[in-house]
Order: sequence, then C-alpha cells, then structure tokens
Amino acid sequence: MIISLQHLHFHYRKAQPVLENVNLSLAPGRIYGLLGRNGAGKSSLLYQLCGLLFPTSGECKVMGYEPAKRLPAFLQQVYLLPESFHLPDMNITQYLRLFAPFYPSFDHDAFKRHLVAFEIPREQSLQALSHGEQKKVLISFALATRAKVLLMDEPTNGLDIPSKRQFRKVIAGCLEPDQCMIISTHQVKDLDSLIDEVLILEGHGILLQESVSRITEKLSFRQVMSLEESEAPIYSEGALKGYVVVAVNRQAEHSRLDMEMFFNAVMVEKEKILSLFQQ
Amino acid sequence: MQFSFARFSYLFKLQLAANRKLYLLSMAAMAGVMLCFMFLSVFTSKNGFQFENQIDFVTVALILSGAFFASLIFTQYGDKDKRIQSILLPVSNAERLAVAVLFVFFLFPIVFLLLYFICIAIVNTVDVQVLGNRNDIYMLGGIEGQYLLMTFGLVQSVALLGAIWFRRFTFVKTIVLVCLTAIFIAGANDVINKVVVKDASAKVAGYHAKVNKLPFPVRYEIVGSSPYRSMRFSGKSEYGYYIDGSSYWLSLPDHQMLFFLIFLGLIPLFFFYVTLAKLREQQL
Repeated sequence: MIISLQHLHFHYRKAQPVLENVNLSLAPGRIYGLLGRNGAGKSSLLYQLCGLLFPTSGECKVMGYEPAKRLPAFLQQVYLLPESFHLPDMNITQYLRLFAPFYPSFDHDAFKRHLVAFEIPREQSLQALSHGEQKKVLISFALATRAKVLLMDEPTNGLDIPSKRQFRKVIAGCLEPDQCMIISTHQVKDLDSLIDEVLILEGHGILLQESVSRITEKLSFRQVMSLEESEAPIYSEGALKGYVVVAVNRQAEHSRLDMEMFFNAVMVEKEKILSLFQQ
Repeated sequence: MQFSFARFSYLFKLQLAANRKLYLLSMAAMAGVMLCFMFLSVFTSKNGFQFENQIDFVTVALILSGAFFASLIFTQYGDKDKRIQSILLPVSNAERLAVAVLFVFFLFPIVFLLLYFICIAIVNTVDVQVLGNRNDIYMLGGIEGQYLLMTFGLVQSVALLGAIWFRRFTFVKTIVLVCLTAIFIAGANDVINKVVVKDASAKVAGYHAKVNKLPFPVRYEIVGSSPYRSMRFSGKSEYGYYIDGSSYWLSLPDHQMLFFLIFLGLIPLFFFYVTLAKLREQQL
C-alpha cells in the first residue's frame, strides 16, 4: 500500500473534530475520487497526506514516510495541487527553471506535452494568464514531477468545458503503475470516467471505499420513464424525461457509474447502500 | 538535520528570482531615503554631515532597515496559498533557515553598506568640496563599529524569529517584542546589579573617603551599568549632586569576560534554533 492511515484523528485548535478514527489503505496505480459534503474534511485529509497538517493522534504513512516530518525525499514524491494557489511573477520557462530542479524525476518533455495539450503558450507570463490557464500550468507541472502521490483538490474548478475534456485526456494517459492519484472534487461529472475507486467522507470518517467496478456490479444506474420500470430502486431523482434511478443490480446488467447519483444515493439511503456493499 | 548544497542553491535562486522586483525597488528606495537624509543634514546643519551624525545615522538605519527586511524574509508563510507552496517545496528546514540567514545576515548588510558608502561618498564630496566643511567619512571602524555589528546580529536574529513566529504585521510585532525584551532586560539588570553589589556602595564610599582622606563618607550609586559593560559607581554629595572625579568602574578580568562574550555570541544561535523549531512546526 502506498498510503496507510490507522486510527487517524485530527481537529483544529479549539474546534470540533474534523477527522475521527480514519482507517484507509490506498494502492498505487489507481485514481481515487474523494467525495464528501462541504466541510466533511476532504481538504484536511489531503493536507494530512502531504504533511501540511499534523494528525492529533493515530498513524499516517505515505510511501513509508511520516508526512508530518516533511523530509525532502518525501516531498519530492508528493505533489499537492491546491484549490487556490499563487504563482510568482515570472514566465513559464523561468518557473520551470526555478522549480523543476527540486523534483529529481521531473520530466521536461512531459511538461511540454501537457502544455501543448492544454494549449498554453510557453513564453507567456504567469501573471498574464487567466486563473484557469494558471491551473493548467500547475496541473502540467504536477504531472511532470512524476511524484508517486498526486493530490488534487478540486482540479477542475475554474476550468472551462473544453479544458475539462483536456484534463481528462491528460490524466488518463499519464498515470504510471507506481503512482497514486487522489482527486477531491464536487464536480463529479467531470471525472466519472477517470476514477478507479470512490472514497466518501462523511461524519468525520471514511463512510465508503469501493472500486467503480464493484459499485456497478452491485448497483445499476438507469434513466426510466416511470419508477415501476425499475426493479428494486434505492434512490431516484426526477429528470427531464422521467427519472434517473439507482437500483440494486439483480440482473447483473452493465451500466455506467453516475457518480453524482451514487453520492446522493449514499447520502440519502446510507443504510441500504452500505449493507449492499457489506454483503 | 538534512542539508544539501544543491537544494540550498535552488532555494537561494528561487528566493532571489521570486523577489527580484521587490529587492530592486527597495534598494532604489533605500538609496533615495539615504541621500535625502544626508543632504538634508548637509544643508541644514551648521557644520554639514558630521562624523558623529554619520555614526548615529548608519547605526539606526542599518538596524531598523535590517530588522524590517528580516521580519519579511518568511512573508510567504503569512498567506495561505503561498504557505502551501512554501511548506511543500522539497527542501529541509535547515536549508530554509540557511537561505534566510544568508539573506538577512550577509546579503542585506553588504547591499546596505554598499549603498551607504556610495551615498556618503556623493554627499561628502558636496559637503567638503562645495560647502567647505571638514568632515571625514565614517568607515565603521572603532568601538562603535563593533557595537553596531554586535547589535545588528542580535536584533536580526530576533527579527528572524519574529518573521516565522508571527504571521501578520511581523515587523510591528517583532519591534514590540524587542522593546519589551529590552525593557525586561533593563529592569532585571537593575535588580540583579543591586542584588550582586549588596552593600558595595557603602564599601566604595568608605574606600573613596580613605584614599582621598576625606573627612566625610560620600554616598555611592550604580550609574549606567548596562549589561556587558563595566559597573560604574558615582559618588553623590549630601545634597544629591554627583561629585566630579568620584567615579569608579568595576570590570571583570579579560579571561572571565570571555565567557560572557561567548554567551553573547550564542544568543543568535539560540534564536536560530527556535526559528528552526518554528519552521518545523509550521502547518496550514
């Protein structure tokens, strides 16, 4: 396992607990989607993994390192793309010249390729770029570091519709078997096709950790004209043409995971869904 | 403690490149302020910009501007977005501290003194050649120069700690901290003096009366005995006036004073250690 959390507790000073008794094991070669309501502790969990916050108690191990110690060898292998960020007043070439040497495995060709994919001119000043374009530069940089653990906090926030497609394309083609990526997001529709495993954070802990294949094995996601058409519906939402339904997959039919529906279903019908996965 | 010269040099280049505009503007501003003040002294003082005034000017300017610069050396930790980037940059805290020390203790004073000497050379030329005043240029020599460098080192080490200890208004808070510390030291020093000398004042008075064959004992007080200086006793008359030629200085032998000087030299190292500890415990 590349990431292992054991009985991890965390709270800010004089505040309610943010994370309580979190146990989590994550494997390399996978992309994890971290979902949760606002304030559920998604960002705090990511910050624990890279050493930006220290656990109140419990154990946190990333690639065998204790993130809180922030050893350079550890930081060279972990890259966090934060939701909001600041880029210095310089152009992309200068940024690359100054920051890339800190990452021994930095792939300059990959960085160029990603910039081309995102259609960002290389000689452009960072301050002259829009927020979305700056984010694309940072995403390119993050991927080019070849860090073993890539943490992305709302990476598609601020990206326009074509850029989200570019983002999916770039991410899908660059994850190595020894890398692990955790994407925390509310914009689940942007990342449906990327995620290998879903993590849902609720009530200060991990409520559910399941692979996409197991979710679609247990549940089916369909659009129906009336609810009677669906067998054993667990959760439904009205749509323009009928209903979108999450149902128990008794017929072993193949459906595509609708992550937003799945998340809402878990939030509303927690017991039913969890019992399905505990079987 | 991990230290790599390669990472140290990357961080040094990064610090320089990320702040180059600020540094260049600050240098221009500093030179402008120096020239303004010096020319003001030249044209408004009767004897131009005198040697003693140069000592006072360079002492106050170097220490204040140095403390201001040092208090901003970790300014990136005051902003959440920049803090994330700084904390996660793959460098050790020792390397961060080493770069900060290089900037605060070496590069800043070198640049400051370079600007100072350029400015004073210009001003002194006008002062001497045009106005006909006879003023030499203060070259940081003598005991004043030694005290200046010593005080600079101490204040910079406190300012460096303040830069990481406080997240906002670092300069103001550091200055308040320095003032409170100075007041505490002055107060404690006074109390310690009185405890250490006990009835020494009376003994000095007796000694003075005996040596000078005076028929009356003179009352003695400790006067201006700041830390790391000799203790000075001055005699007072019965009417409360200090009597001329009645002062005595009490000094430690050189070999004993050496221990105190070593202790004084260790104070910045203590502040470096606390700064390192504060860097280590930085969180979001």
